[in-house]
Amino acid sequence: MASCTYSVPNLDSSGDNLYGPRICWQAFVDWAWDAFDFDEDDWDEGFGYDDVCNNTKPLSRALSGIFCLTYSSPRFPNESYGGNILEWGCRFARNAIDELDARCGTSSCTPGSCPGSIAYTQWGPFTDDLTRLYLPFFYNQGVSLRAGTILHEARHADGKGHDSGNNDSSWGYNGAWRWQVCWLAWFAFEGTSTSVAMRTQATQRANNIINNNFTTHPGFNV
Amino acid sequence: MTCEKQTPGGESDSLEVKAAVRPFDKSATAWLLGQAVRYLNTASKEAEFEYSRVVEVLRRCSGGDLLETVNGIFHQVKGGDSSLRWNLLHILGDAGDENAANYLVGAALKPLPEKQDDEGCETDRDMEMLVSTGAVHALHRVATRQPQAAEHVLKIVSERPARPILIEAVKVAVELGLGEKAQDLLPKEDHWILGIRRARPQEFFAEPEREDGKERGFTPPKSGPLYTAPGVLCCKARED
Repeated sequence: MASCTYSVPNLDSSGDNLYGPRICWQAFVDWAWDAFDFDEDDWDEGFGYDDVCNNTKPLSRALSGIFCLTYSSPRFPNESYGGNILEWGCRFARNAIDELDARCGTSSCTPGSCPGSIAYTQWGPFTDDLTRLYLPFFYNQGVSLRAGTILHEARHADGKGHDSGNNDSSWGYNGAWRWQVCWLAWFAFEGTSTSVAMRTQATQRANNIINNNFTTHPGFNV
Repeated sequence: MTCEKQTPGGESDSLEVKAAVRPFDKSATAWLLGQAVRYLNTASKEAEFEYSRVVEVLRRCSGGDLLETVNGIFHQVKGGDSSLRWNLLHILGDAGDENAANYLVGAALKPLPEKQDDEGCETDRDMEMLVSTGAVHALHRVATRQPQAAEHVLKIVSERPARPILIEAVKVAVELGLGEKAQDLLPKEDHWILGIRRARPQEFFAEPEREDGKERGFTPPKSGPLYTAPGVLCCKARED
């Protein structure tokens, strides 16, 4: 068992003061817990299992990402795959992710330093399929970016890895990076009940992915 | 393949909290910055209006210590809390004057953490990149108000930073009417950057590779009457 520490970053700038009170809703917590297959053992020991409405704890901050992924479309509860990815992203994610776990990933996360990986998914035959979220997921990115990360990992959980190192070879590969860009772009275009900061960060993150994570640049930006 | 990340076995981890930093307590300007961050992250038209009011106060009344205050907070928040740093640069873009331009160039060109192929798909490097590209866009807004600051963006182009930062700088240079100068600074193999276009929303189409069926399961609860969470803001009612 690894041990780690964190300092609570600013709750306004991360969006946790906006989304935190929204997830403090029993019907939502019960639904998300089952839909994404959370387990007590993976979210206790300081990760927030016994304090779900505390937006300084990882569980609340993960649920904020899921809330954002679920309710941001102006056409909710339509989740048809015939619509855009903002509509069906959560549907896909909860069906693809086998279980969602919290882990340290790094020894500490403070405003001075929060290094390392954000999330990880493993899948395949003879493999314990799972998705892990690490400290930088909870404490070094805002809520809308967390939603994008969950969808990225869901694409892996569905069996689609990257085909060019950690990058996708092209837009046409239709991989996790394209999906993350599409969700962030649609969130920026028409996401509801959100802030200017969440939208603007989503646009900039989407462009950074387009400009960094495709071996062949698609030739456009958001 | 997937993004590689070596992880220990299946047992759970434990987490402890340490004391938090309070960056907005040290001066009136810091307090105003805190208010601006709050309104920038609130979901309402009223908040957008309040944000513009706070920005106006910061422009007129910060007594020249806005840059110094942002810099002081950046010293506290060096390599974590990327959201806070991104927000502060965004506000500096809206409230800063020509003196902010050099600072924003420095923020855009801050060295990024080394890329580690075995660390996973997204890492702290991506979050630092977001802060850097946020600085480029903040510089754009400063230069829109203060045209004499526009050429600062060419400093970023000439330093050839990581590709996402370079691309944002070139796009901003073009929007500021400096496209030809940016082209002169770019090697020929990078001239394609000038041709990047802004896509229509419909072009951001991800093929779900499945059709609507019965798998929908776990339908999320609808918000509205079931929404029982307390509001974030203080209630207006007050006892006299």
